[in-house]
Amino acid sequence: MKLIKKILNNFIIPLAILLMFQLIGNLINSYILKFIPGPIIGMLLLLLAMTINIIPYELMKNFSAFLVKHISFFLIPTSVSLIVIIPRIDDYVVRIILLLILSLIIVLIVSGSFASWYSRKTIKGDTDE
Amino acid sequence: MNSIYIISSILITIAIYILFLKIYGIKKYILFHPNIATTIILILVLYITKIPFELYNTGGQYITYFLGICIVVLAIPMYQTLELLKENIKLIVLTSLVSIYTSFFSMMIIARFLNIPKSLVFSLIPKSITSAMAIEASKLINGSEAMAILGVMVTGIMGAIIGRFVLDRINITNPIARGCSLGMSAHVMGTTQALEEGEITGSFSALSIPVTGVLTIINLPLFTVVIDYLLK
Repeated sequence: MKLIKKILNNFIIPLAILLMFQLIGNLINSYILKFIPGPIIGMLLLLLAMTINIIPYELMKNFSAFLVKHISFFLIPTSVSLIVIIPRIDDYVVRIILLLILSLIIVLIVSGSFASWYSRKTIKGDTDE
Repeated sequence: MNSIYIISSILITIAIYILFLKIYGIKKYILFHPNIATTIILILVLYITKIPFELYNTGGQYITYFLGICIVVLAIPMYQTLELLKENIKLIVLTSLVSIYTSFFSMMIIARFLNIPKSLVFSLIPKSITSAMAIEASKLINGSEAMAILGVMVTGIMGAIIGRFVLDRINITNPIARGCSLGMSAHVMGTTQALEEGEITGSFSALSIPVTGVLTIINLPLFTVVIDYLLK
């Protein structure tokens, strides 16, 4: 009995809750908010449900830690589908990688500089007041 | 007969993944990261044995099916960092917006110089967000999911390798700024690097990921309009 309860609490119920929120998100996506993907709506609703204590955080904690750790596993088949794409973009592969690296460096520099400028500015503002 | 293909492709994927989970636990070399290593090995296996991808994907699609709840579950880490997010909401949202627009426009300009066609750059727009969300994003703009993953993976790997080096070179020492920068440019891979620098850098990096993801997706309709004007 104890084991069944443990499985229910640690695995089945959290999974059911996640599926339920995904379903709600997908429903809202197909009828109201067409420009936001269903799972993202589901995520925001679950966050809301936890902050107003409809869904207890303790219930989700263990299962979510496990799932978050292994999210990348569920991406593998999509990543493997690159095998279909690569022959088609053959001529561009080197240029695309160059594009990604250059853009990455620019984003790193700009966002890092902006955040450090902004936090310095707000700290100064706080001491002025 | 079909169910044999389904079960075997799922089991092989799990087996290689677990193997590299163990190897990566011993040696944290970026190419041993379970996701990257499993992908490379499966691609090599399919390429050498000439097994068509569609056959592998008869089982693979059942793994992909769970991606939706993998996004929903991100609500829990967000909940854990909610207090920190509330305290710094302005900084995070503004920096995130700056990084999203920088990412988009820098790509447009570079793509123009390198003569990369619009149809390819299009799918790379969500390159700086976490991969599960990037797939949703590319579905939304009818881009290629595989290209989106290529963008996310290359950006992530390079971000993990050069991210901290670049920040050192331009003398950014503020841990909050370093965390935001790593998380917003190189998502989860950047965060693993940020975590090595300390708690503040790590948690700011971690909480940048969902914020950047959601904001990128909200901005997608705008980007798809702008890209028509900028690229052929």
